[in-house]
Amino acid sequence: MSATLERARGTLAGFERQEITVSGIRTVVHSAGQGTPLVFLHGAGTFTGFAYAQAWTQTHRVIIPYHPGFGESGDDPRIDAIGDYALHCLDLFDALGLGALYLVGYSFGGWMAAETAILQPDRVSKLALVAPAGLVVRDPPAADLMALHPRDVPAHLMHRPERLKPFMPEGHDLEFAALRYREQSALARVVWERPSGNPKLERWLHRLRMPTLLLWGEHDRVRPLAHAARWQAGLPDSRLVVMPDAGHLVLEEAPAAAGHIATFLGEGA
Amino acid sequence: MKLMWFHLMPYTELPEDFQQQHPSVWVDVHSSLFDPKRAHLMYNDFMDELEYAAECGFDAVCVNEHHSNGYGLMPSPNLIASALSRRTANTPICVMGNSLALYNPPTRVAEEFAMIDVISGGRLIAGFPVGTPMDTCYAYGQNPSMLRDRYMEAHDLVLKAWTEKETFAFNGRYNQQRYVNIWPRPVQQPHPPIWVPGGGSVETWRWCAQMDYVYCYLSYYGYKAGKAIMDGFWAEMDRLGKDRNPYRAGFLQFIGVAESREQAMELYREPAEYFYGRCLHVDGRWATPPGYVTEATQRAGLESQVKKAADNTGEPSTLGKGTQERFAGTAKDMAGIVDRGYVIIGSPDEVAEQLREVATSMNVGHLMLLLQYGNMSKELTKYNTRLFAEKVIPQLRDMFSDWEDKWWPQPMQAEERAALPAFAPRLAAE
Repeated sequence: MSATLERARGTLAGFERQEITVSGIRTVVHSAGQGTPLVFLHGAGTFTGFAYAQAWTQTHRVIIPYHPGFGESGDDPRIDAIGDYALHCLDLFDALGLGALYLVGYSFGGWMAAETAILQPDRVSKLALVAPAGLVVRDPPAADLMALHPRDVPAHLMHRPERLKPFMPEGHDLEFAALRYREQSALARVVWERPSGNPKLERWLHRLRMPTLLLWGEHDRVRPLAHAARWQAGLPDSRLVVMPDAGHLVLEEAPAAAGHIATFLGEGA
Repeated sequence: MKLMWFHLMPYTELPEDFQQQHPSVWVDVHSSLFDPKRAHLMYNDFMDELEYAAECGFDAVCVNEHHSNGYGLMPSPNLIASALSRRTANTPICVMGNSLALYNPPTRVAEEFAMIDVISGGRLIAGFPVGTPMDTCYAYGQNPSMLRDRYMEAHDLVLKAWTEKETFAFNGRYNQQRYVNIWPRPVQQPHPPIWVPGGGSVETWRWCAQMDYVYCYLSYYGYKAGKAIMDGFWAEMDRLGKDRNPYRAGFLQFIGVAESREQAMELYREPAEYFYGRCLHVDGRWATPPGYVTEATQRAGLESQVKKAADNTGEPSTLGKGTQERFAGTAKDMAGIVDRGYVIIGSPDEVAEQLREVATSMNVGHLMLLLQYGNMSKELTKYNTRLFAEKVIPQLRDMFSDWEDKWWPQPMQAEERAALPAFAPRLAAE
């Protein structure tokens, strides 16, 4: 394995690695800690690892699955819509024997979390959406990462692109490039024709009755902060926390961001 | 041996500073560069040239499909092919081809190809490309991660539409049609020969072998770059127990023939440098849409680039670089273009000798030849075409005569065919 990916895996130190088959798909799940289950749905790139999740293990049983087509999980070419991922998540919850849980989703995983919770709102006690994708907002529009020139991507992901450097390989890294290609291919199945998201998502946001946290980087160039207001307009019970000096990858860029999630989940518990 | 005359139909008046001022010849090539009145003349010149090639005795004329492309003005090659059906009498017409996944429903391809086959009296070669990323994923917005699957399903639908006698329902993942029953039906039965242009993927080789289709490697970088691909193709045919019939394969090659090599260098310098300098200037953004190739193919591509970088020999490494950077490593001056084999030039004897070597070493029975490229004038194109037809073709015609070309059109007998009132040979009158 490449050094970069080794380092990403290292962020899961102390987690137990579990490999289960969910409707035919090899699904790798990492979990650690005790308490109410906190399922974290990662975004469209797993190469930055999960360092921010360590803190949550103090108070929760943190469960981090790799989605089909991402990280260490297998591929499933039958999955070509966000609804497939949502149903896969529910299959996974069943397979893990999870009842009520906290659901945290990041970017693409935030969209996935919202769609999953819409299907079974009673299962999700609290929902945290971190720079979530999926909501179609005309103005200002989401950036279409599939249409950006590669050289422009870092400046879209981080408010200060140099902060991405520790996560990137030095020189030619075959494994890194192959992983990125594979994950982008899985993402493309869902978003190529609809880069902004699901035009019907807004129609069903009222089903997300649970307390919901929106966590945003102030300078997010992929999903501009203005999108938060649109989410809030549709969500029955939401609050917004904005991290200054951070862009789309707010959990990596703002070390304090993960703590806001812990605080939110800890309230009234 | 079949010697086929191929036209890309490039826009011939891209500005000299195109490379510096514009990001790409493809996808977002700027509309202000397109002058419809100049293009009127270009199209008519190009169609004259195709007809001229047919009159000169080339075995076939070829057209292809590109979208939003400054070097390929044929979003619909079928329009050109239908005109050629009426303006040529006996020459097979190779449409190389229709990108199946771009047609909705794909039965449109079955219909239009059948029309061309019927109008031409059975002279069509049906090309089925997947299509480049630029054409399919960007200009036409297709999902790269599902393109191949969609292509395969479209292929099955088109083939069934051609061969099934009864009206049928088709229920695929991407296409659902309650009543499929195309009119007209092709003259060539069970269907026109199917040729598949591909990159170097082993999956495509296997599929062509399984379906008994012609595999074509259409690269702009000539025989030196293409040799490894064709070697791989034949090794795979050996593994699959297929014979080495050279007519299983097609290969594209640029040609410039003149009285001498020196003269050819001078005559073809400008159009070749125009093509390799301006026409292949494609933005790196369009190189690798995710899922367009399988992960295995992507990985193999990366590995070979790593190896090339490690070997540190030959051409500069293109590792981790997009089309734009790869393009930066290609030759754009005539000496380099010729030296690397992108364009074969010389006197008729020299060109014949090189092509004989190319065809022999790659075992290719269908040579698709570009004798017009870049901003080559009609006058020079006709000179190149005629000299090749008169002095080069006769030297190559006998090649592979032991093999039967089972993938060549089977037209109607001449006496069954319509007279073409619009067709008046001009060559004789010159």
